[in-house]
Amino acid sequence: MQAPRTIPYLTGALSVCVLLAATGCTSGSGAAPAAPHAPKLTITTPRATGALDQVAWNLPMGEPTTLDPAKVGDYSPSTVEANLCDPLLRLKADYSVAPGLATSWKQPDPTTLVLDLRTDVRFWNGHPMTADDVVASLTRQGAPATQSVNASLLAQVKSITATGAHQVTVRFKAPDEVFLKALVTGFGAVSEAAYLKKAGASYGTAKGGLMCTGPFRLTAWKPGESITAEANPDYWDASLRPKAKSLSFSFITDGSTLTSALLSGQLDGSYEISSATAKALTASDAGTVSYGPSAQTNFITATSPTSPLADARIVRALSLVLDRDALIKNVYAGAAQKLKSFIPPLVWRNSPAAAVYDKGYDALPAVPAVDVEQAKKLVAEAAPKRRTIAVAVAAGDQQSLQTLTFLQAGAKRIGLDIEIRQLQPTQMSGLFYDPSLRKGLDATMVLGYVEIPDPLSYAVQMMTPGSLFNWSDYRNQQVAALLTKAQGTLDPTGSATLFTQAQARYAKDFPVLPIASPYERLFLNKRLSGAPASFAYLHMPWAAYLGGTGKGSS
Amino acid sequence: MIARFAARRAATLAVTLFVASVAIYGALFLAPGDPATLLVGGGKPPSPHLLAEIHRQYHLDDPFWQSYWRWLTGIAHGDAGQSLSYHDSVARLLADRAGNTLFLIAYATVLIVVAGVALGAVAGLRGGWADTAVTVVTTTLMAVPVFVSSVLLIWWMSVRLAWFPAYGSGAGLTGRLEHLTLPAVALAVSWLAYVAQVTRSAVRAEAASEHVQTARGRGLPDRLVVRKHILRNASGPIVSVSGVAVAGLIASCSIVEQAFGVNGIGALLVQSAAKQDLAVVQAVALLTVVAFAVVNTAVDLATSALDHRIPLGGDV
Repeated sequence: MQAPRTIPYLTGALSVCVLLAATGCTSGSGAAPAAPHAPKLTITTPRATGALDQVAWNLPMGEPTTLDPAKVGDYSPSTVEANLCDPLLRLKADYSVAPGLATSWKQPDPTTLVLDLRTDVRFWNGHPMTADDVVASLTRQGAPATQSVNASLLAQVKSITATGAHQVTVRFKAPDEVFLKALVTGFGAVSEAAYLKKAGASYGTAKGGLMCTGPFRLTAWKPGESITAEANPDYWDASLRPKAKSLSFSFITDGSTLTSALLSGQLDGSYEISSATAKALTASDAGTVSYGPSAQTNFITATSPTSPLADARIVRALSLVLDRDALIKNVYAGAAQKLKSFIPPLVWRNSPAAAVYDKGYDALPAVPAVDVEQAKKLVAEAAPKRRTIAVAVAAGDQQSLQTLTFLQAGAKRIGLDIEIRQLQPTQMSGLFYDPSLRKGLDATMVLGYVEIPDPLSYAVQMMTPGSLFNWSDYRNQQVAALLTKAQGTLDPTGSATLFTQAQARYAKDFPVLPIASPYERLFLNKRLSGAPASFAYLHMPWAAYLGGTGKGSS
Repeated sequence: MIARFAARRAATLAVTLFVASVAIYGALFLAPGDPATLLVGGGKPPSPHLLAEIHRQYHLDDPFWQSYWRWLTGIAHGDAGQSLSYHDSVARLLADRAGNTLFLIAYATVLIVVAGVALGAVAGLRGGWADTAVTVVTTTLMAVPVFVSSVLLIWWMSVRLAWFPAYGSGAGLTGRLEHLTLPAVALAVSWLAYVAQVTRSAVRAEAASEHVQTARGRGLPDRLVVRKHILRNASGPIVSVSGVAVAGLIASCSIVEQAFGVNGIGALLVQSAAKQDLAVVQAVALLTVVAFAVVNTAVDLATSALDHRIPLGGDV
């Protein structure tokens, strides 16, 4: 079983394809960066228009615990929920933002946001969507009883009110540039107010069901067995009316069982397949493995202020002995990208201020080549009290385990001893929130992703004093002030400039060791195609893009 | 005598259940980790209030005895509690999955008993090449762990030959037969081999015994000798071993259900244990203990009925 990933990820997809995509290459593929053995990256798989009766999909991270958009915060629930519940804004495959249930938005002053809604949208039960539904969906996430994972996004909000049958006005205590972009996730998804009230705490569970407006509607959830959704024939966006009649999700977490089910054609596809599964499927003629740019990020970060890794010099030394080319080739089977920072560039690639972010990223020090002498010098300079570094990793996560073994070998050459601690799932996820579970650990492997198309949304969680993931008690007044100011600046270029200034500073002293950004791995049986291959799928109605190719049968 | 035997067994079961429930509850309670954090994972950091709310709702911060007592009084009222990760009652989770698991165990039991006894009897009675073949095959099969046979069967029968589906539980009788054949075979092979070997030696021992020689010497028909004198007398060890096999199936069900994606109680146990879903693990574990005890008691009764020299209550 794979441990849940517990933090947002950032990916820097420098691929040509992404650039092409920005200029209209939608289903094209682009050359991958120059790294050897790198697979070809695709934003989306070739379009297919044939009708499909039944699509059998898998969720390799296991069964969702909920589908309530206010609570989805992980791979499996998001993968399903994105097809059922439309958000106010849409995330496109290239990580750009487009209108969704809101057709337009304006900010008459820095603390007011006015969202104009579509007038032709109906819930699955035929009731029209109104501003009241939007207000109810957003405000409930601030109530503790909802147990929403998005509560912190409402921190700066003063009020959310319906100012027309199809207009919603959000007033802020202070300007917040992240709020609008966060509407592309489950945070911005709209459920029917009346249904929410009736379902109460059971909303989004197998018992309580859902009432949304998406291209598929939830028809059955048999716990432990499957989730089934059927096409919504009256979907408001005619271009995305599903070509697949029915969509079922299974929850196979075992790698070899999944490989067999995909090889035999019993399952049609899956996102997030492992590199071993990808290898077996590539060698077969069952279908196609596609690689897409991703906002996932793997890094190691210090878990306490007393960790040897809390000294940025030790982090730099480890970075100097970690051979990333060999690592990506051997551990990620080539399907990953080196990162200068822990936030992958795909996150901002299509932001209006992309040029500013790019310039900031380019100015960061390059990923170093292996230099043992320099690393030794840094260790001598830092003279850590302890030379043993205990690093946590989820038990059974082979990729991370191999990565740490690589690092261990490198660290040995500079007199540091990496001790790998394999933790059970609840321990691993718990350490992100519970300081007592971080005791005895110096660092942890983090597999995360960045879902909001804004690097700031991720950095703020780790960098500002007192924030949930600032475990090393990192205090850099300048960085904190710049990040706060960037979040309060609504002008994209202004905000981006402030962010890059903060980034230039924390890159020097924040104790994080970026490892790589793994590409998205998608498998599709040859009988279907069209799904996005980019990591943005997580917040897209990806199954509405699927169509039959007329090839094969199963 | 039967009543006393049953009373003693029931008392032993009650004590076992109590000790097991404290031990399992305690073990999961002491295990480091916070099950609530698995519910919030992912892209955004939840506020600490959210975790506190989940802790409050599921009483995760209560001291051990208080928490155990709440569970115990719940069970006494027929309420096995609420699952943290499934947001549903444990009773319903179990009821939904019991059918698949029972079907799987019954199917595997039939395979073990029918095929195991048949193979063993053939080997024991025929001797010669049949004996050698059965001995070699069963010795090999006995050494194959369940997870290996599962992977091999899926690769061969599902992927290469496409005769059976690779995963899932199926619905209806035909659907279940289709989906659960491979899991039942994977579950049965090593026990089947074991039962075959025990049957073979029991049959051989009986065949060489004096009363069989006498019966043969008196000119009784061979069929009658085999049925009345050999198989009947050899049935004691065969029944006990089959009983142990069935009890063992209950335990190895978890592995097979996980490997074949069967939505059963075993898979539920594995998934819930990883998520520290106390109420579910507790219920499944206790159910397993009860099933073990019931099967063992049934075997004792059967053995004693088959051979009156064996007193009731000889512990298995």
